[in-house]
Amino acid sequence: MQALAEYVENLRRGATTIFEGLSVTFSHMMRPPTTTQYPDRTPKPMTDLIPERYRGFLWVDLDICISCRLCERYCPIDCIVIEDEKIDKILIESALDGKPTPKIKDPVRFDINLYKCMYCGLCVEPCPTGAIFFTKEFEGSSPDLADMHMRLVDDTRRAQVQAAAAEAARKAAAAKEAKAKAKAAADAKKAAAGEAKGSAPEAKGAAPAADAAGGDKAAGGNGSDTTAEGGGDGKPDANDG
Amino acid sequence: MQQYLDSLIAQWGIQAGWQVTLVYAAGMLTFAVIVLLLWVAPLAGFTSFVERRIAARMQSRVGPNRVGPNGILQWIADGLKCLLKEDLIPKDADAMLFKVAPYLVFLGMFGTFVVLPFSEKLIISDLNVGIFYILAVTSFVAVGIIMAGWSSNNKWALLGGMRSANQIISYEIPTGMALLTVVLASGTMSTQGIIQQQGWLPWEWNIFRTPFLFMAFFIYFIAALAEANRTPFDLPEGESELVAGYNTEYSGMRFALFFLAEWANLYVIAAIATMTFMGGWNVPAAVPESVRTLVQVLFFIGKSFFWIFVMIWIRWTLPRVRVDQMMELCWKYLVPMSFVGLLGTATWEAFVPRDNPLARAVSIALFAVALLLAVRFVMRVRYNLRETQARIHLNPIV
Repeated sequence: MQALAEYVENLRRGATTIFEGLSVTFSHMMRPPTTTQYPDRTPKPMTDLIPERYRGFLWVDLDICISCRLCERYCPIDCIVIEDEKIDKILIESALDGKPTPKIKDPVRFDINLYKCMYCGLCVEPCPTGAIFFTKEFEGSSPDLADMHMRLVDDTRRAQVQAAAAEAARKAAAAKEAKAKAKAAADAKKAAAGEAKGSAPEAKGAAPAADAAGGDKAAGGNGSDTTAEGGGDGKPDANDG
Repeated sequence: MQQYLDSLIAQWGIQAGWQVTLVYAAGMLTFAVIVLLLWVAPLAGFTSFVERRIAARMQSRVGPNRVGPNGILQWIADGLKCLLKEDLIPKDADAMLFKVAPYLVFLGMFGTFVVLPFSEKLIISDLNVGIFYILAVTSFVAVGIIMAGWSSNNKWALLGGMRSANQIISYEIPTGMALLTVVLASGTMSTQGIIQQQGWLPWEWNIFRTPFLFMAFFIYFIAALAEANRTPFDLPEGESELVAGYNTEYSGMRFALFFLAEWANLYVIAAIATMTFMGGWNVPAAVPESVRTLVQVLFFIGKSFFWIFVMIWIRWTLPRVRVDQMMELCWKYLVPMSFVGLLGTATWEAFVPRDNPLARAVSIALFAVALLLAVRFVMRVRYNLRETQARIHLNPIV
């Protein structure tokens, strides 16, 4: 008897709960949708609807990037590749605190592979000048995977940077040459002073030798600059530094 | 249709023999193509669009609205996409069975259209074993699904196919019993015969004729949902458990055929419910002869679409049941109750004559019960809307 009561109770509960559920969904069908229709019927432009700290695509302000490569080093999946050239020291204004920061290198290549990027933000945090940051852009759909490989330094900018770097290298070489000449002159003066002390023949032989060495060094510096313009992989740093 | 072909044969002066068979075969193929192209395929496609829109509104979304005016051509875009995709057959699959399975599923659904009427005259063939034929031909679906699950050589597909077999075979019994109850009450298995002995007024329908038929309707509807693998009985293709169940490995047009069958099956279930319980194409006698067929078709399709809507609505209301719950519902509740219904109807038919005032009173009382349920339902919906202070937005176009 109890089993029968339970059976009937099960039936009743099944029927009434389904009835209630159907009335709830039916009432939902008569309400307006709560979703916003993306992309062309949003009340405001998408960028105004996105929260402030949204992590969209990465972007770099190359003018204030000092090419310290911290972002490249911190990236856990190596999706950032930077190549840079040495330029004349300039002062740029940090986007973080507005302080002037010295900049001695400028990237000639700054690639971010957004296809690999996982938007962790580890590149944004160490950046000393706030050059790399998240935008609110997120619409990355494209028929070609290569479109997701962002090359931030375009050809015009690379040409400008390389010209500036060549100019800087030429100046540096000239300065070095002048320094070497000055040193040679100083050596010669020293030698002359020595001659006056009494060991004239030895010193006379040494002075032209020092001159020749200074000339060679300057020539070597020029040569390394021309290769740097072609390849540009940080060799001049090793040579000049 | 047969009369039409016979008149053609007489007109062309064909006596007998293979020419007659040829004319019949050509006639059947023509009708099949007409029904498929003009009714089944657009119906299944459009139902898929309607289902997605209703689902979206029930979940407070907008739904597909980009292709064509308000997304109404979405189903054509979906079909074209499936047509253009690669027809992939897995390396370890049983290629022959894998290829045949979707056609068997489609055949099981499409075969029922032979006896599904649209009006008094519009029917392909009024078989005198119509209901029996429907029960028999829909078994192809079970065979096709098991075949798809087995031949895919994939554990998800196999699990889905096995669940489907177990489910369809179990639920065949309550479905058959519920339809048998109608056959017992009507005294015929012919689909047109069952419709003809009902009237156009609701209390003349089979569903309100006796309390047992009222119960049999719900048994039929629940069991048919389970047989069509619809939520809450969509265990064979449970997305969260089995990837996609028996059609996991399918792609392209073969995949689309499964879904064509699934959505056309909604119409088949709704049409059988309309035909056996809801008065079919019966229209008031006052409808003039000239538009009679049209009105009959509209009545039939209107009632069928209502049940399609109910099935969609149930799908987006109820969660999926567990396998043991599904089996318990079938064997502990539906099967015993369908037997009670069968015996009760037999007794009723033996002792209560058809045009008895008592029988008429019972019909009207049952109809009143249904009306009360409907009123109660409207009140519940109003309560839900009032409690949440929701704004009412009845326009389907958002």
